[in-house]
Amino acid sequence: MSRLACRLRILGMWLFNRRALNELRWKFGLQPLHTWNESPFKGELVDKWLGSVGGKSRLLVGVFTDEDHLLEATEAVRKAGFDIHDVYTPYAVHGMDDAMGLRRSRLTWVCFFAGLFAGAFGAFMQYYTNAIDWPINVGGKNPWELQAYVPVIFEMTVLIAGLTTMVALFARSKLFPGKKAQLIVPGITDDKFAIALNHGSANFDAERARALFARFHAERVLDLGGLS
Amino acid sequence: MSHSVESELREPLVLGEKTLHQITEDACAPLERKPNTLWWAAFFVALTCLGVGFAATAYQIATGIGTWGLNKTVGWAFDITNFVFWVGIGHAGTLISAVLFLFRQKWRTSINRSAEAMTIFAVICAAIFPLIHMGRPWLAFWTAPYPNFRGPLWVNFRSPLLWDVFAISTYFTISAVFWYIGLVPDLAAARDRAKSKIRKTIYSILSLGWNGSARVWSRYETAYMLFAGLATPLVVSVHTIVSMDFATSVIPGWHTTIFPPYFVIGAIFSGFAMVMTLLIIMRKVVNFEEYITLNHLENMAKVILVTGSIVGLAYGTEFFVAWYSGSPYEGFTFINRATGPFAWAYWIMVSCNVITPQLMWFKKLRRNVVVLFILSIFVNIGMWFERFVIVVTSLHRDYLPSSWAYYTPTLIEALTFLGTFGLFFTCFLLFCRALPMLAQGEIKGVMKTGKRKHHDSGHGHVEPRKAARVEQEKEVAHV
Amino acid sequence: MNSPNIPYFKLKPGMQRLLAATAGVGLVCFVVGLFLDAHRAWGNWLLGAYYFTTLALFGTFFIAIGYLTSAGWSVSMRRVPEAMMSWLPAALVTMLVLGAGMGYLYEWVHPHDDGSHHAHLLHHKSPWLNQWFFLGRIILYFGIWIGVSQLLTRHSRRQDTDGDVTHTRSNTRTSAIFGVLFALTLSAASFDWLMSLEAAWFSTIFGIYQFAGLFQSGIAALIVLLVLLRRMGYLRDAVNENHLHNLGQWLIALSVFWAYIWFSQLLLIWYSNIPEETSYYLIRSQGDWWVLTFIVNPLLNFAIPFVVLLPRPAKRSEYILVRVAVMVLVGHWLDIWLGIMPYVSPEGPWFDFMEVGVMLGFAGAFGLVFFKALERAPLVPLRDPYLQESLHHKL
Repeated sequence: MSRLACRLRILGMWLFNRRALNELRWKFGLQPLHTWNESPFKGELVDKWLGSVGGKSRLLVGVFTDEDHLLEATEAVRKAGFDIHDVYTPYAVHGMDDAMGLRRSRLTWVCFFAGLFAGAFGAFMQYYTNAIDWPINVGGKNPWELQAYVPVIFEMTVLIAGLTTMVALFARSKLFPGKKAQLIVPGITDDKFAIALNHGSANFDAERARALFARFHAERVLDLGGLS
Repeated sequence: MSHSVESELREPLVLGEKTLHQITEDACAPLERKPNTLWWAAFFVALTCLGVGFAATAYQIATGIGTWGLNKTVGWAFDITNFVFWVGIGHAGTLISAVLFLFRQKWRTSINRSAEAMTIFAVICAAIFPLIHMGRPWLAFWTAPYPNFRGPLWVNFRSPLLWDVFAISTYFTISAVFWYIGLVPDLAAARDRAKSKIRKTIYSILSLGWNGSARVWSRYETAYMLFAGLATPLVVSVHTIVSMDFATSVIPGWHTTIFPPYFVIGAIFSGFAMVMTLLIIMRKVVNFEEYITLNHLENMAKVILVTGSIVGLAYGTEFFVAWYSGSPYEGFTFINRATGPFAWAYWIMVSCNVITPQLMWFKKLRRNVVVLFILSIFVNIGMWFERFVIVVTSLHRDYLPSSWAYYTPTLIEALTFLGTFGLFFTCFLLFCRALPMLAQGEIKGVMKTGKRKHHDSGHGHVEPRKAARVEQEKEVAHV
Repeated sequence: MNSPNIPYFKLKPGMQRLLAATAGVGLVCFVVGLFLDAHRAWGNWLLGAYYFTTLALFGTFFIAIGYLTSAGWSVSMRRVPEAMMSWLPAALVTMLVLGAGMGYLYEWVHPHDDGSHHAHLLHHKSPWLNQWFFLGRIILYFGIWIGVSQLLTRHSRRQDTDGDVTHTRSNTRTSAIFGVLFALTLSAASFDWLMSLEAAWFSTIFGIYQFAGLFQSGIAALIVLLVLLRRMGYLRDAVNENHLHNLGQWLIALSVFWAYIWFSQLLLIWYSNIPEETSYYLIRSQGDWWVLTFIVNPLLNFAIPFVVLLPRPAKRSEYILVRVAVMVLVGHWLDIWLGIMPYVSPEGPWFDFMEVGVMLGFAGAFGLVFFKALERAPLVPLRDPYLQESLHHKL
């Protein structure tokens, strides 16, 4: 493969597949980059590219039935240096972000800047229409006095900030109508919790992982291949 | 973790020692069984009311709003009363889903879904009235500021009525989005249990491929928090703007500076009453008594007591300042409210909104479902009359005695109002059948509340779980 | 609270002397001010007395809502608002002293009947606005506030020794009753003390406006006092960045609430343009008052706190939070100052030793009473049933 192709592939991985890139970085002893969530499509593609890095199966999954055990197990596997592919829960488990070592979502900033833009847009729209293009005399007051325009500025801010946040949430999480849900084990939306570890990472040790899962009362442990 | 240590005084939010699976079962049960006779009967009644309302609406649009009982003095009456009434009903949903969320009141989880649904349906009902009042509802899009060929003619952004257009449509959109985002994980649960192909397909499309990933949950929680943060000022702004329809005028009884917060509190008050009415019926019919417990009803009763008392304080303040201001017009308006031709409406309002809620001071009554049900109906009636009193009594005595008049609604107006109830209940009954009424994803998250008792909560206490975790970490290091 | 060094606060003698000296300087400034410009001196006295009354009353209110909502997080810091409300008896004295200077502030004290509409209005209001009823109401308000505060403090301290849950229940009941009385008395008090300065003017939202200011500045003061105590080496374990985060959220929320109420009054009066109401904004639109009223005030109380505290790390940082809180305290001072001074000395705005001195004097006296009260009980309510929740509070 040419050098250019290699570079393009790495660029592609950097953009679209952090996990695969991190697997490479592990090999060269580099710090892993922040992983993005991945679609099954990319997982398969990476397999083709890398030629089954880390053996046949890709994920080691511990299934739990209690939130407390899950939290403790997650923290333990992370501290033991395993690469956590993801954790699956039926509800938002409080404290999971810390246990997994996730960094805080940047949706807040999306919302903030969308609101800022929307507020400015709302102000400009009213200024242009009611003070420039067609100033009307209402009650003898000046065409532009900010207080009269605040309510609509506020509503525009909330509307556009809210809709942008929704779109950003769904886009970033790759949730869209028609997407086929891939449950790691049945019952994830009911009463099962699961931790999925990447086989691919450099210091992966299946025996140690199984022992850890067992210590925290895992209901069962599965070796899953090819599933993202 | 905040809930890992808990006071002994905390009680379980859900009764009956439910397992996680049982919660899923219970939440999805109403979707999966056939509707019973009671549901069909209620649906039939609601649909009939809707039909009657539809006919009345069609008639008045075809004939014109001369079919209403308005006259030269009372130019606003039934329609705007109903509009404010329905918008107010909607406020409890947002309050429960957003404000109580920000205050970390965990008991909200059992009731937020149905309250949010109510919000959306109530806003739809509310929007009907100004639409009809436009006279030519097919030109409603003229309220949008879009470039047009009628000269550079724009909407007047300084009109509170236009603020209403923006406020109500924003409120509807954001409430619907908030509601839907909350629904996604529960729709996924319904999808994964669905037996029939059609059911599975529909829930699959609606649940957007949700698979319970914690990375998504993390983002989802952030987004939920942001929506709560946006919806809280939004809900306040909506009734504030509604109040400004009146308060920006110079009419005694309408123009008073307390109107914005007073309307907001009144809206929460009336909304909670409606939530209470509906939930008392629903928990019985759908068998949710272990989820919507007496504690939930008691908490709602407390909110009703607090907001009702603040509404009472606002009545008092208005009355006091009407005298204190020394303005003869203000003074007359308020005396006239209490003793004039609409005194009956005024006293219904005071007794339903201020006096009867005071019964909620007694714990026994707060936990008596029958009393709560009757009381919540009273508040619904009282709050409708509050808007009626504000709108009509302020108008019916004009500055010139020759322009004094009385207002009686026509049958058409009454039937239209009935029709909105039909619409509201039709939507609500369909919602009960089609979507998960319990936010199971959220309920599961608070199930441990009140169950992690630890006995030594006094001085010198070492938290057992923390100690256990330290030990576990040591062990992990050995592995 | 497991560390042995926490439970009791001890005020250093040097600090005590400093606070007493500040109070003394303030008194001197006030007395000198009386000879130079009695109107403004009394205006500043009213400002100081009212300002610290609201802070003390905030203590009671904050504790009451804590009990009413069974809030866990705020328990470990409760001794601080408890000490804040111990200022109330002193506040009663400062408000009663006002009886001597009423004539300088309130025109309704000596109405002169010149047959004008204005005189007619004052006459109309005289059943409510007269000297003796005014002073009587002060005693009534403070009687209620002090009574409730004593009751809450007593049960809270008794719980330290016997650990009985009934104290919590009893305080919850007291808090509910306080809620009703607080709403009534605070509305009436704000009408009496501030709104009646311009006797012809009226605004029904005024009580809520003052409530918003009380709540917002109270939270700011609580943050400042907590950080101060932490810097002195107290409460380090009991109050951490999670509690500060919570208080920061309250501060930002209340900044928005204050702005909402402030704006609602402004918008409605501006929009309707009725002369008897616009007088309030008219005198505040003259000269330099304009900038202070319409630009500086909303900046300090709303815009800056809102933008600065929006990011999560800012709310968790003691460094940022305490600076914003101090700014809000200054903003609240400005807000009340703008409520009093444009009427008392319309040719102003003046800002000199009187403004600074009288405020410092009140702060010194408040500090002294606060720290002395703090010494009287363990710094953490040791046996409160929610204490463990509070110590492990995490956001």
